[in-house]
Amino acid sequence: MKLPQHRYGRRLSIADYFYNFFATITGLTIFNYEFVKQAFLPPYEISEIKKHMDELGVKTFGIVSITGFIIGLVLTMQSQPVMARFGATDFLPGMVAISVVRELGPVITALIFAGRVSSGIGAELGSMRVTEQIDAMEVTAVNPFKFLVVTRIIATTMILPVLSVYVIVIAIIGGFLAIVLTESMHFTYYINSVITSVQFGDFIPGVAKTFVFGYIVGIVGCYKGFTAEGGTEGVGRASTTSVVLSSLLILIFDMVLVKVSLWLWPTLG
Amino acid sequence: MVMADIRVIEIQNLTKRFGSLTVLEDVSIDVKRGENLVVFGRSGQGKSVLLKCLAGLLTPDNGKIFIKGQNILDLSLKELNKIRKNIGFLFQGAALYDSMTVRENLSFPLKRNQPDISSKQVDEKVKHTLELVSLEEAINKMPSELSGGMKKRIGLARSIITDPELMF
Repeated sequence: MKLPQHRYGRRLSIADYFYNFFATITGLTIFNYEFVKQAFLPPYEISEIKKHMDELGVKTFGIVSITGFIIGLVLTMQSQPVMARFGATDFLPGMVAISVVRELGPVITALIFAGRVSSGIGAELGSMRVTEQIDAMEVTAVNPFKFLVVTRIIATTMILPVLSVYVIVIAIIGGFLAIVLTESMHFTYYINSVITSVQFGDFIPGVAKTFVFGYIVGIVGCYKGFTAEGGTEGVGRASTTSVVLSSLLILIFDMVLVKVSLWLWPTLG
Repeated sequence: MVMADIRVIEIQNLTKRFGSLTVLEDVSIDVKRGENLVVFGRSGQGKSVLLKCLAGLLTPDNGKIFIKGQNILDLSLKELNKIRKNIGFLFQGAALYDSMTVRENLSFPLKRNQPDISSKQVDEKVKHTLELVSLEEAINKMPSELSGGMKKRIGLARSIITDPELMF
């Protein structure tokens, strides 16, 4: 597979920036096509996918736990005085839950995941590329795209929704702790308010979009790493640009997916 | 025709350019079965590029490469991989897989190319090959724990473990 190469090592002109932008878009499109083509063909490398899911889950578990808890806690602390001003403190659990389920949980988890995982994949594959490990794999008649790229993209796509659901739960618990610090609210009342406020229509689009975010993190990290060039400098560049590009794409796709979910579930609006 | 006369590698008028830089120009080489061929030259003269073209890692701009009578430039990836299974390639920097131990590095090509091989056979083969390069004690080490020379020898062990017909 021939992918467009970037022109580094000298000062880039405006034309170079345009070239790089379109080269990345074209490269990612080819990479997507190659992924779809190869993902459904045997061998399926199930053990590699499991290994990556395990590693990615362990790698991000700690940081998403802390982040999820703080999101719930801070969101509740910030909203509580405003809600109290309107005498609507009873609606606080529902408001926190809907915010976390629909938007904050999935997007913040995806952005942290991008920072932690996309850069890691970019650096790992980039390092394998510049030290000829990918070439060595190819020479031993192993398809490196299938073994290294397809397995990682499937793993990121599968693990991010799991982490998002976990973050949503932790954030809701964080929200409860923020409430009990200032008001007397029983946990059962809080949970009942959360359950009655969050509808099926809130939950499904929120979690469904994390599959897309997981795919973005995987494909961008793999693309940047797999096409890295220029020694250790290239590895660093692959790692950094993976985070920037995947974070940007997550926010752009979030905007599109929110619009799509409102179109599919008009009652959400 | 005796076996020794069979040309296993035939390179015809090979040309490879990188942009405006011509690295290989009109190179033609024949290698017969059992023959050892040494290509030497100054740095940047295209020795590695020639080997990478032979292994199908680089596509030449011109010329033909026949391995055991088949022009590898006309083959599909599946057909090329059949030929690659008979090639042992020792990279300059050894190219050991960082995330795998020495044992896993050596067993990787074996398990991949011989799916029916038992774990016991793989283990025996790995130990035997490590004995050949006098590095039995390194079996459970990671590449980062090895010296430069040890990496080279492990790289050699990995390239010969499948008993390839051709060594680059």
